[in-house]
Amino acid sequence: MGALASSAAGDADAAARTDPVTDRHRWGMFVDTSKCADGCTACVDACDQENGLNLQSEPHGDDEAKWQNQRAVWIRKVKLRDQATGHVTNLPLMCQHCEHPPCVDVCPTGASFKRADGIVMVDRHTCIGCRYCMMACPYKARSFIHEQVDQKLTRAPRGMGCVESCNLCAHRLDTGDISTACADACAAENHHAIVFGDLKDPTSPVRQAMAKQTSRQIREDLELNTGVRYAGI
Amino acid sequence: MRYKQFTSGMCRVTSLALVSLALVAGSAIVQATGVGDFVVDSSKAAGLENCVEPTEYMRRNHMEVIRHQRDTTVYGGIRSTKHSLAGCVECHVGYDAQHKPVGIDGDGQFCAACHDYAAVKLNCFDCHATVPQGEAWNQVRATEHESLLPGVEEQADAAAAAAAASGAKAAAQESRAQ
Amino acid sequence: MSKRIVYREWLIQPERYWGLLAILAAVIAIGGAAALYMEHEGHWVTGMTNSVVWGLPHVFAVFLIVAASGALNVASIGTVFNKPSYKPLGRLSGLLAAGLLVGGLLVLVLDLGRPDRLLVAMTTYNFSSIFAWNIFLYTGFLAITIGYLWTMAERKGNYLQRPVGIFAFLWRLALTTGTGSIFGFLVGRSAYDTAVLAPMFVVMSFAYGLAIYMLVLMTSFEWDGRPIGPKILKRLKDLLGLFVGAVLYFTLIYHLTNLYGAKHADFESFLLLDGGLYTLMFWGGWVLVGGLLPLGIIYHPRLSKDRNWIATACALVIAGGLAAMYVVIIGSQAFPLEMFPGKTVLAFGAPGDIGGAVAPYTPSLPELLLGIGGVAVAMLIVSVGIRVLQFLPESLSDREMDGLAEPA
Ligand code: SF4
Ligand code: SF4
Repeated sequence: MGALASSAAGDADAAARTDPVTDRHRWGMFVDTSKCADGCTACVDACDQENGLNLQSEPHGDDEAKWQNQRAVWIRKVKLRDQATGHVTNLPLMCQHCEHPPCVDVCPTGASFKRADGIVMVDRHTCIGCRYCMMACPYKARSFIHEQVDQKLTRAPRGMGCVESCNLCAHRLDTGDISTACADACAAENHHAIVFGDLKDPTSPVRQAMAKQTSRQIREDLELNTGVRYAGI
Repeated sequence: MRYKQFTSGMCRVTSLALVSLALVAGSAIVQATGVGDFVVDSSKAAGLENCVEPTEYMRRNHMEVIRHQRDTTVYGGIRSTKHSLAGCVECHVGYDAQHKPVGIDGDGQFCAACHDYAAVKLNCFDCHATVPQGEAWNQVRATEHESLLPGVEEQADAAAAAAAASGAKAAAQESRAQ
Repeated sequence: MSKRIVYREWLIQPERYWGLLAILAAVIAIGGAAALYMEHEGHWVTGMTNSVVWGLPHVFAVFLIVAASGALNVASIGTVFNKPSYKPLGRLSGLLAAGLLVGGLLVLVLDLGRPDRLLVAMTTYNFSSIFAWNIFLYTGFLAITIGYLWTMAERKGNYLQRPVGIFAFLWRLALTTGTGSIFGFLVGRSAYDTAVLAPMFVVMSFAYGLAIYMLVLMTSFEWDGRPIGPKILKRLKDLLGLFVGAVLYFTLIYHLTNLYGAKHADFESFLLLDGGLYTLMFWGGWVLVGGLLPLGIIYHPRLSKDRNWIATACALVIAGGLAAMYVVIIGSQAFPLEMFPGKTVLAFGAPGDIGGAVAPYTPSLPELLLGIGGVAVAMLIVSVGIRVLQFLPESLSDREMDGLAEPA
């Protein structure tokens, strides 16, 4: 059996996988919005670094405001105010890794796909850049690469004309590291608002956190069974 | 493809100086077919006997090998085998006088030189990194995070802080399996 | 036996013909250059962003594709519904449909992020994607249209005309429904979350397709000095009036379902009241220019008899159609995704990142040029087609048409 065949917590020797991912795990996150601090962008910054998003540069001659909407973003800090109570909530928003992902349903070439372990991502080799998945995603989780990319990281390929989104730091999971950059960064700031783990393992941190608090899916009405759950919204 | 053609092609695409340099410096170490090799001198590969498969095989079939690995990685999450494109880059990338890596798709560099010669479009590097930078397989960080696994809430801080700090730069110690 | 219809190649003077071709070719070349520029630089040179991901090229492409299926309607009426007076109009109808479809698809393809991977799109299918089905529907439509044209032109194939015609008719209904469903499947977006969208697209296709058809027919006849009798013209314009009325009717139903059925009141007030450009496009373009004005002309006792006014009505329907597509495609993207009911979005990502607010979009010149290039491709195909092959009937004068009135 593969290195990750045992439960997530049991990977003592954290090694790169040699067997294909299976559906024994389903990776996901739990976000406690009450712990998500106003003004903190640790998760966003960490994601930018981890996935080379900070290496994007504004094309010469582009409009600054437009560029802010054209650059790729995998995770956002969202700030909400309840219209009735005035209560302000902060939360990180990224690809929700839907169990029934609309982006995958609509993709004409099958480039958008869900990995056996529940991670939804784009196979850049077959993506034709039609952006239909972006139209379909209810969370605005996806970004199109509008410009030529000179700088990229080995672990995060990126090129003009394809669509991408959060992949739950798949490169980390595949190399035996059960964590995401955002969750780590949040913990490092002592906020612990993001808990990452295996939704299928009752002993995993994410499941334990979910057992303690009620959580919701964003746009629960769409019944996508998202892999990212939020408490306090 | 005849190797004589390889040789003449190389003259076309790389500078003569580089060729002679390669012939002199590389004759001892570049085993495969002697002259006509596109292996860049300053690369790690120049010091190795063989590619991950016999050189002859790689010449003809590297694209199949890479493509197969590509699907294994994308769909199966297997990143650590010897056939990864990241591995190609890491081993074949050349270095300039300042020991800085030179993009492998640059003029005269390993991938570009041969592809130019063979007039085959090379588009791996539309998306993939052309120098080893920020590799995924990182034993150092993987071990760091073990402490995070059981109880996220408490003892996370120290290790995670270290991890976040080292975020962008993959640690120096690349341990590609094999 | 009914009278035989005589078809003849388009016989306008060579200077005029080649002049037309040269102009079209120039427009196409400019459109092609614009596409190349966008592909080379990347989509940042367009007005498109991660919020408005489909821009002006999609407006043109969807309009052309929808109109293509509508253009075939004229042929369908002739064969499927056995209306002899429409029979002579069938060939042009098929040609125009094929031309519009090719033009539209070309625009669609050239707006992809990776048009060089078209082969991937043609070889790897995800069958749960309506988009992938549409690829089949479109290529099938083209093949069927060509086959249909053959049954109309070749006497040996004449006996197949009706079955093929019926098949083509059903296929084109599927095609328009499919195009409409591209949007209907986008559950997350309030604008598209309704079943009315698909039938609305079907009636829109009838109206836009017929309007283009009539313009092309009148122009090509006029240039060549061929007569069109008032009778056939009246039939066509009455039909157009019917279709335009149907579009307005479905527009009403669409908004009613949004308001009372699906409870998308916010989106509705955006569209109908305070959406700025989109509100203007809706009322001014979609409803007024594309609906009420042409209806006024078509049913006006005097104007409706004047060819120039009929042509104007057609042009207005087309302009209104483009405005409608703009509202449907771009307006719905500019309107923010509603993720957090009962909450106001104070910040969404880094400053400048758009969420919870109307996304800006300004179409860029290359996008417009690409779209117009697609229209020119359609026109080029039609011009060359009617010139070298016998697509146009010799005459559509009343006398000629009366001879056809009795079915065989
Ligand atoms: S959140 Fe969006 S991108 Fe992510 S799986 Fe769901 S639909 Fe796809
Ligand atoms: S942009 Fe790429 S991933 Fe998205 S639907 Fe199109 S082909 Fe699929």
